[in-house]
Amino acid sequence: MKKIDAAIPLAVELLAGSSTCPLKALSGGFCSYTSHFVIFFELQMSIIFYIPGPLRSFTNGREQVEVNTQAATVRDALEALWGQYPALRDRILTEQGDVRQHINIFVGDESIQFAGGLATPVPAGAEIMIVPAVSGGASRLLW
Amino acid sequence: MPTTRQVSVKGGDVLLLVGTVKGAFLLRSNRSRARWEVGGPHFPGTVVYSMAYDGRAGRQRLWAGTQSFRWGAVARSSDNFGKTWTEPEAYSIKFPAESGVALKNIWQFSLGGPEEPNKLYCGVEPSALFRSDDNGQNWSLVEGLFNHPHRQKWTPGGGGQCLHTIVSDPSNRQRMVVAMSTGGVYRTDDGGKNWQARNHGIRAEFLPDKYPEFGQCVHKVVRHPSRPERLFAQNHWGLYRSDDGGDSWKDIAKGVPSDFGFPMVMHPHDPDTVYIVPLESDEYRCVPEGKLRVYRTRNAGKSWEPLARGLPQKNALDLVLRDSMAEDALDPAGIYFGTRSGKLYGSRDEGKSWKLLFDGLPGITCVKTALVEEPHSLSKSKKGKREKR
Repeated sequence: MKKIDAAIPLAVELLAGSSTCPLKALSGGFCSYTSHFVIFFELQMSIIFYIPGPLRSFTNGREQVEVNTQAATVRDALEALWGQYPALRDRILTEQGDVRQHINIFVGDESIQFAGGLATPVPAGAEIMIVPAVSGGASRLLW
Repeated sequence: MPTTRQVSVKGGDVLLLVGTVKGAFLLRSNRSRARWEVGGPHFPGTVVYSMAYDGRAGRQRLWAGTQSFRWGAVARSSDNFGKTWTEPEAYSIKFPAESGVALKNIWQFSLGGPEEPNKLYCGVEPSALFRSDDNGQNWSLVEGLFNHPHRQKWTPGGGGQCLHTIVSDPSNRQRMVVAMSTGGVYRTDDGGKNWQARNHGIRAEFLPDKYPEFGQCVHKVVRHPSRPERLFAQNHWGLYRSDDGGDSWKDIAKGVPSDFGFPMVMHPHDPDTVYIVPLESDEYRCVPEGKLRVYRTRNAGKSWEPLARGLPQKNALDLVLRDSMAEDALDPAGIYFGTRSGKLYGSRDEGKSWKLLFDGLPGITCVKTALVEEPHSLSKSKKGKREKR
């Protein structure tokens, strides 16, 4: 019994700590009625973000980062992204939580501008690309 | 990305901090100001509208307001003359979430007085004033101005709706004047809690009422510390002087080829001397007649004289933006300005003659100067700081 009791927190910790495992352990315990060892999991998705060059210094140089999250929308997925890489937040969103004007975000091939904006649904296994727009530049002439 | 060239700054040096549409440049010279070493670009590819040097309390800190049209505007600082700059994880200057407003650009840094060595102010777009009491680590919105009932009617000028000028009163630190385009001049007499429009006498050519209470497009306001009650203003059409702290303004545009222009600079030692760079008109924003000329008054606006020796007098299709002119506090004073076409000019003799210091920069948006403390002064002030600890 002691060995089983000791194994439970270890199993929970191992599963919860794995960045690649889609299962996030919520809690666990020994069910004395059934004599079973029970762990409750939450199924998470893996989302891959493609990070533009100018922002890779904030992701340790990574062009692609994988985030395990239960995100239903782009907003949720981005929250998970800056949970791991907090410096990205202010560079992608304004302080009002809007995507900056000259940034596009694509879920697969679809720009969220023409979908639901930050409320755009994110399917499991989605690839989200953050793209600096080709617009801008001298958008306001200095006379 | 280009390699950033560094300059070796020594105590006693004169610095020019030059912001451009594609980064910032740092020029250094000794006090002769005869030759300049150029460093940069810092923040290549970003617009730098504002720069400042903070030498208070033994610091040697540069500030830059950088703006990437993709990644937003962020205040960055360097304590080693640009070798490294802060790259904050979270942007320090932000409007509160409940304001519904997002920062577009940082237009001006202003330092508190020597008795407030950790105080900084920042003017931004859309027009607002931020204050820091801890040397720029944390910033807070000056709510008294942001919540002004006029704010809903402040409209953007051609360069954006911005608070570009901050002028404190060294004789009374509760008093400060700011200028915005558009909106005009506002003054606080109680440290920022309350603000009043101070535009009586300044015209607004583009409004039905030519002399409204507010809404003018004031381009620059300056004050000499020895005459705190007197202010000068360069307006979107109009040159003015106030002798009562901004309560009223008098037209002083007689003798200039045009009273349209952007920059205005106060002589560091003479409260009657002011420099401007007139432009043809708001429709044609180039210097009049193709002649690049600085105009100076030495009698508080009663008359103006052109200063052109060394400046191009043919086909100079150029302009100087509102924060692209500055003075140093040496004697004789140095005056400097940078143009939209990337030319940086300087005068070591208070404008009598000019020299092209550097050509080929990106469009210049900001020129500031700094005098780096002599080594013995620096160690004295740092020693004082250590003793206080």
